[in-house]
Amino acid sequence: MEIYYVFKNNIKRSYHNTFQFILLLLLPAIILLCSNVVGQMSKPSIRLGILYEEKNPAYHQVMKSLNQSKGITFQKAKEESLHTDLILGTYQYIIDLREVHEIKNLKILSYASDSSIRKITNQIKRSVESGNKVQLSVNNKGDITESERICAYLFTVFIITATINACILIKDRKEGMLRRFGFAPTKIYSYITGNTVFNLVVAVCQIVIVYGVIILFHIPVYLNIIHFLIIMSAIIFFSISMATFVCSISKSDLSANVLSSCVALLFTLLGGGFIGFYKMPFILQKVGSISPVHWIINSVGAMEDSKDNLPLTSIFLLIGVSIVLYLGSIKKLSKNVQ
Amino acid sequence: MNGSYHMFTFDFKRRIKSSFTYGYHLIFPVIMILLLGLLLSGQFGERLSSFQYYALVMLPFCTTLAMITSAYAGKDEAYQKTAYRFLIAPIKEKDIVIAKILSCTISFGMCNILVLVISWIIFSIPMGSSVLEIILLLVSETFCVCAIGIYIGLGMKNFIILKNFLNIPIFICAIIGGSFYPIGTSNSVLEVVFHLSPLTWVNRSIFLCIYDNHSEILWITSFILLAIGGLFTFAGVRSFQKEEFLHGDLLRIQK
Repeated sequence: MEIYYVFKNNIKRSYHNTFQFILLLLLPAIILLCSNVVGQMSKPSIRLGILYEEKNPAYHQVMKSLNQSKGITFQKAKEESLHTDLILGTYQYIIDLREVHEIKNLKILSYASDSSIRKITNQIKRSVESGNKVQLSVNNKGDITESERICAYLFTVFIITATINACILIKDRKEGMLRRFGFAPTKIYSYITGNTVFNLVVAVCQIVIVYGVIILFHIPVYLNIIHFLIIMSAIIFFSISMATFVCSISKSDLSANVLSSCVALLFTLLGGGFIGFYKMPFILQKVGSISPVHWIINSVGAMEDSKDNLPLTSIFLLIGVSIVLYLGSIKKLSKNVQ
Repeated sequence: MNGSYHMFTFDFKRRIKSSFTYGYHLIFPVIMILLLGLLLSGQFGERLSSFQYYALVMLPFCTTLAMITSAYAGKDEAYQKTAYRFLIAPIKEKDIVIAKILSCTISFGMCNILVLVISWIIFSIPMGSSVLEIILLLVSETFCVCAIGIYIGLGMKNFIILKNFLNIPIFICAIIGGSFYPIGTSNSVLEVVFHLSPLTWVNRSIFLCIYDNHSEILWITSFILLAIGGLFTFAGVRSFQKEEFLHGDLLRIQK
């Protein structure tokens, strides 16, 4: 019963800042849209630069092959900023045709590893000599798919929004509401559970909005609804218990927000949310296997591969850690009251 | 002349003793270089190591964070509750502002140069004689950023709210400029957007100077940064009133 009272009180409080509350509800959907728009505008393609003179017959041969190719964009490279363009990523590889009149003497300039330069050189030479289109296969093992990337981003965003919601705990502790609860004939866990239920309801609304956006804008998440719900429930359980724990040990709003943002970013970085997990150095792979983002990415990958497979171990692990954090926050707050 | 000299030495000693200077401009760049260099060590091949790339690219980014540090430096007197002493002291506003900007520039610039020289030696970056030009670029960027920061810190009452919003554009400009990952695009609209960030130009001029031996863009960028810094110094001197120091009483932060 007390849980319901705390929950109702929180809803009444959210009416005071309606604009901020609605912004919080829409935040994950907005971030999802922005990242999708940017991702679509810069479609993954290999950027080639070519150094040539017009009279060179080899140039026309190369252009004939490149014009037939898909997934490759090419431009004339500038000689003055050759190395800078390669290092800063304007071109991934530059075909050097300056002193070359036959295709077999073709040179490729790049700052990638020597073995990949050799591979690409051979592929281009073979395609151009036979007049076919150029198909460059860059090593893509270990890159994360779109669905996994989206789930990793949502994890980060949910931790941050859950912490903003759970800052009510800190505000109540400063204003003395927690002490009043301690004097009342109720247990402290009903107060925390009430706040957590409010957080949960807000998170469920956010997930419904996100799912609506995914369907409306055809965002490439290849999970059926049951798998999506399972993954999202694991994410929100973890983020809410993490937020409650962080707010129970922090002394101010600012430090709670900063701590949870840092932890969320660190988990995403180490778990392979930005770069593929298997592309990281070996030591960091060992360290990153404790990150929840790594478990989430593995689960999503397993769900995408076979539709019947439910990767239960990772999900149970996430829920288990959430329960531990939740109990920890109850213990810490009860100590605070006494 | 006397007043500004004393103000400058006083401010300079305070900057050197403050932990913000060392934390943001010595320790933070080194940690970011080591962390990002380790994380992305598979990205580059044998001719360029990831540590070299991140050493050259993290320095301009950490310099832009000086905007926040110098905004705090501008509000120092307000938080130390020495406002009344400044109001009755026979010192001009121009001396206060210029002394603050110069002390911030020199102290943060020295930290940047130290990090640059350490990474030059440890990671053996092939800088050669262009190290002086890069030092000039970093110092002019520090001057520009400190001028903007002091203008914000001295001119605004509630600069804490603005400071929280300053972080976001700085991070976006850094990501677009390639400070965290070498980013490139074939979409012409995105290319124009990428060139809007000042960090793109600074990073590009550093690499053009070292690897392609073309320093024209570096000189042009340095002059533009110095000009912007001069503009903000002028604006700060014109708009500063000593009564601004009184406003620090309301927002006492616990350090």
